Amino acid sequence: MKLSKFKIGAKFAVTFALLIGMFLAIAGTAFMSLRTIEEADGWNVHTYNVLGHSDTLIASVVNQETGVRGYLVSGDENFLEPYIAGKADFQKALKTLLEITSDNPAQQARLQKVGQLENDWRTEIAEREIALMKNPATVEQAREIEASGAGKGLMDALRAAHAEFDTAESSLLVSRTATKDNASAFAEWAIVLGSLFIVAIASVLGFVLTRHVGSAVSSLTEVMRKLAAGDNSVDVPFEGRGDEIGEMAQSVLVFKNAAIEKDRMEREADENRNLTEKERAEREAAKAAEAATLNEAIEALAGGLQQLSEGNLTARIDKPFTESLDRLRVDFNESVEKLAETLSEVKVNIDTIHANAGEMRTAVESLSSRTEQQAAALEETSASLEEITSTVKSSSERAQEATTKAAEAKSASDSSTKVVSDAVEAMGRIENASGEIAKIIGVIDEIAFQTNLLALNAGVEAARAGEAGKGFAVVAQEVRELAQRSASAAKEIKDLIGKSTDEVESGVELVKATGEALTKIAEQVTDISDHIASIATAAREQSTGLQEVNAAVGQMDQVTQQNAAMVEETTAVTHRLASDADGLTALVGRFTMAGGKASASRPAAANDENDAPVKSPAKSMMSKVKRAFSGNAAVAEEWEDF
Amino acid sequence: MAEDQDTARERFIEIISFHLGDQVYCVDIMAVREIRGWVPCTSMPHSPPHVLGVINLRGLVIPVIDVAVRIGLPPANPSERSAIIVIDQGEKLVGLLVEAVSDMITIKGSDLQPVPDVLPESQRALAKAIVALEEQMICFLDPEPLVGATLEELAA
Repeated sequence: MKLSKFKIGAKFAVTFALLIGMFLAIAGTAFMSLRTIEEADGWNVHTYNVLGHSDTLIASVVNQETGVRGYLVSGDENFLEPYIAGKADFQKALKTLLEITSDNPAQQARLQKVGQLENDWRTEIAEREIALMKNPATVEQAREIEASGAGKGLMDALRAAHAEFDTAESSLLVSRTATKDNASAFAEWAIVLGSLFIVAIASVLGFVLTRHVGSAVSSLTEVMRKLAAGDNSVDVPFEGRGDEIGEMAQSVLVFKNAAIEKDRMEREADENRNLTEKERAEREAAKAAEAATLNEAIEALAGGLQQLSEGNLTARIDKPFTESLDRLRVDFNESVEKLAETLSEVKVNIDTIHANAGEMRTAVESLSSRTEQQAAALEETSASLEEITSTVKSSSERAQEATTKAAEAKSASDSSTKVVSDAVEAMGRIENASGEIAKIIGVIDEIAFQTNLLALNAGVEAARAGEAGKGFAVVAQEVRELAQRSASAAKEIKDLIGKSTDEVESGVELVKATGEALTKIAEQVTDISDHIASIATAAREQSTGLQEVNAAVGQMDQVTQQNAAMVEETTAVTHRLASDADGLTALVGRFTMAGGKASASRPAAANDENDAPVKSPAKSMMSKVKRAFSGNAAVAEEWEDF
Repeated sequence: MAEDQDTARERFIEIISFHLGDQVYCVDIMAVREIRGWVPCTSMPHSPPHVLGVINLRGLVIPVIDVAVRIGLPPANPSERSAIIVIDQGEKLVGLLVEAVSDMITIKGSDLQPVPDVLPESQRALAKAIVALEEQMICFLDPEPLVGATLEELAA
């Protein structure tokens, strides 16, 4: 059956989809019918509306005719009112009708015809009659027109056209009613028959699904119950199906197979239990014989091991064991032999270690003394370094001071240069003043010369005056002497000024030379200053280098301290090594060997040497170093630590 | 007494000494009109070498003689310190250019010594005597021949 290939969910989904689709078809049909009926109803209302307006139209025509006729009969113009009102109503109704029947060209044509006829009647009959009626002379003429029946003929044609319009509209109404009835009937049939069909299909599908799923589940449940009860012979149905039932059936089959396998295993276990009982008796007998041989071998081995534990390495087992156990004996013998060999080698090695320990002790002692020397050298180096450092520092300070002094000297020489130039200026001023003085002296000299001349003239006059001029001559002489004195004084002053001018000139030269010398000195001072600066730089660099050297010495110091510590440790280790070698000798001495008992006298002698309270060379070195560094507390502490 | 006085008067002579080169000369003060400072001379055409020219002495034009040239020395180099000794020759005045007027000395007649007889008369007439003082020897010039010849020459 193909149905079993699909999942249960799919089956249900298909069923319900089928039912829902049918329901939707029925509902759609009914809905369409209802829509048709509604549409027909809408059109009926429209038709009734058209018919109403059509009645109004014909009524208005009648009113016009009545109004005209009343006027013709009475001649009273009041009778014309219905005509006027009817004319307006007709136009209005016609217009409305034309609008609402615009979808029907046949009806439009009919309406046009009605409108045309009304217009003809009104223009040809009614208007003419009314015009004639207004003139009393032509009243009779108007009534004749009316009586001729021309108006009636037009009116009849109009009524016929109107009747045709009404009939056409009414026939539309009838056809629509028929359509409405048809639709109503179709909807009813569709609903009844569709519902019945759905019920039938639903019942059939429900039955099929229930059988297909429900009965399969219950039959599987039955199979499982039987399996649980222990009946493994049952057949599992539906295992070929592709749906969930098939999967369930396969799982049940797995359970069944597991139960069958379990039964088989239980049976095999029972069979195995029965086999062992028979063999046991045979084995007991063989074991007893084996135990006897084994005991013998164990006894021999125990004896050998006993001897071995007492340190006798000469112990051997000579009597052979049974074939299977004889290997034990041979192995024991070989082991003891090897042990003896090894121990004798160990003994030789211990002797070597003793000798080496002695050499190490010597080496450590010399190392200790060298370390001591190194520490002393380091101390000296440190002291020298300190001195050098202080020297360098003081030289650096001196260089600094010298720089300051050089700067001072430079400024002094600069100011001296100014003094020199001032001096040169002053000399120049002195020269000028001397010039002035010389001029004045020239004037004085001139005056003295003139005075001299005057005095001479006076003397001449006095001489010529003879005796009377004697006294005057004396005065003239005096004046002349004065003039000569002042002349000679002026001459002296002139000479002096000349000399002083020369002196001033040479002074100026000297001062200039001094200025040049001072400039040279300033230049040299600058050079000196540069040299001093480079000296200071060198001193700084030296200082840096010394710091590095100091650091290096510090590191060397540390290394030396570490070396000392290591020497101490090495000494201790050497001692331990010696004592360990002694211990080893004693241990080896407990064994008896083929070459006789191992000698224990040698280590004892060695011990005697070491037992003497010899002062450790490292310790003595350290105490010396400590003394050497006693100035430095920190160093002392560090050494204490060692 | 009078003779004594005269003798005494004779005995004291006042002279004006002046320099020409290194040599000191003098003239009798009584022959001197006045002494004045050097002023440039206006030279005269065709004048002899020892006549320097003429000067204006307070409105009076007088000739100036270079004494050095006149007595056979190299020509004097006139400077501000040079002087002109104006000699009174009776009616005429003559200026003598000298390098420097050094002194007005009063000497005794006994100090005058005759000029040695080594020169011709005309030449010897220029020096009247030699004044031998302790510190120096002064040639006592006679202004008359000095000037007279000049005047004659000028007149000629």
